[in-house]
Amino acid sequence: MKEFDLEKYESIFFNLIEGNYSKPEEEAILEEIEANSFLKFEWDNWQKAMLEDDSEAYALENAAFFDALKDDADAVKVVPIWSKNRIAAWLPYMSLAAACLLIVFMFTINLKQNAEAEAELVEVETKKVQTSDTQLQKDEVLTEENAVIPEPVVAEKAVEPADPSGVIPIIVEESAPQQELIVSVDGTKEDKPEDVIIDFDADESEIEESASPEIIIADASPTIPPQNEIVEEPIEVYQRAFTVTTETVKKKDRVISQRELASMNVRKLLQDKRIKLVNIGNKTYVQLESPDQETVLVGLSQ
Amino acid sequence: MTTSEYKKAVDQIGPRLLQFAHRQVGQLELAKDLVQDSFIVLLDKLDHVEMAKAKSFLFAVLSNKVKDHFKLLKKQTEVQDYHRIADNESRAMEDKEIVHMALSKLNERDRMLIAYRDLEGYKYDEIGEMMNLTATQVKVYLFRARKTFKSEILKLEVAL
Repeated sequence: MKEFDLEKYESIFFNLIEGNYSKPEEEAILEEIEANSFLKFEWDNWQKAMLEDDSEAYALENAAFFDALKDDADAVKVVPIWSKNRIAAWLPYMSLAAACLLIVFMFTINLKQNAEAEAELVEVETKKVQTSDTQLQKDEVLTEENAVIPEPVVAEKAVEPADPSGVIPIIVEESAPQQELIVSVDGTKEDKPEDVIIDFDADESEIEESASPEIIIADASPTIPPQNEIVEEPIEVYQRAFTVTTETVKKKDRVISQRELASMNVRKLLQDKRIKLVNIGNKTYVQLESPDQETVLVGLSQ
Repeated sequence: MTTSEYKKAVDQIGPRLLQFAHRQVGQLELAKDLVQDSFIVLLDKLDHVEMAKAKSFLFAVLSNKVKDHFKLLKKQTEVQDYHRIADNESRAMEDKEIVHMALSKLNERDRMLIAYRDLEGYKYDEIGEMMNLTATQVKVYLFRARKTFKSEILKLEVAL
């Protein structure tokens, strides 16, 4: 091994610090240094002249400073409004939302239009009961020739049966042509509403809130003497001839409850309104008409 | 370089830059300002600098800013700090502070050479590229820097 050159020990120490020697050379130099006190002293001083890496300590102690540096990047870089990332990412969701809104809007408009559309048209079979041209004369005898027996006519569109729970549907006829009416229950041929003899007081009191109400507003059948009533005079019974007309009218359903029906002033209804029987489907109704009010159709039975 | 890569560079290179700047100027707050200015320069040239070259770019920018700083600053301030500390014999100094003070006695070139070599582990040719020197010049200057650095440390230890 070469003798350690003391004149050049600083260069040796410099290269030793810089790591410019090989491993065996480094070990030999360290042995020489350990053997010489002066060299050892100098070597310790040379080792102090090296900086230590404290970057981890700097990172921990100044974390807020480095976070602020990262925030600078977001502040400096302005994202354009119409950038692909911002707009393209939201386009499918915006399109879907717009389509849903459009569908809801169109559906709402369609419902509204249906509600406002013309009322369902129904064919109403009207039977003129005992009009002047159908009523038999007092002395006339009903024969097969003068008897007009109507054939059953089924309306094309039937009204929904009344709710068995007690709600009676009332069909309001908006534009039915005026017809002669009147139901006579005692065989007379008067055409005046006041001639209609109906025990409506009894009807009003007898109207009960039952599950299956049966309300008879007018009885178009031949007069049948009440039970246990003494009939002083014989009652002439006629077989009525009917003429049947079928007309198409607008139907507007309005359902009323038993309670509402009971609160009706049936007497006044009958006084003011003209009455006729109508057949809609398999149900029979009494049609009450008034020039200044809407027509009311009342079901006779469930 | 993307924004996410920039943030990654802040985490990886930022502490080393701050350590380097602190060793150069001796004041932590001043070192932070210089490091922040260096990263701002990187932000301006974000599209032109690759992530792999971000470290050398930042150290080069910081070195120039340190030089510019010392051009405007009187070295007398650092000398005064040294004498003020040396006169105060009762003040206890850690070895770390002695090293820091001794480093401040070196000139800018020597401080940078020692910092590049010891803290960042740059090779002679890399340091030469950053400081516009040859590898031989870097080695020679670095040798002189360490000798001076060692002498200053010894002086401070003796003075205290």
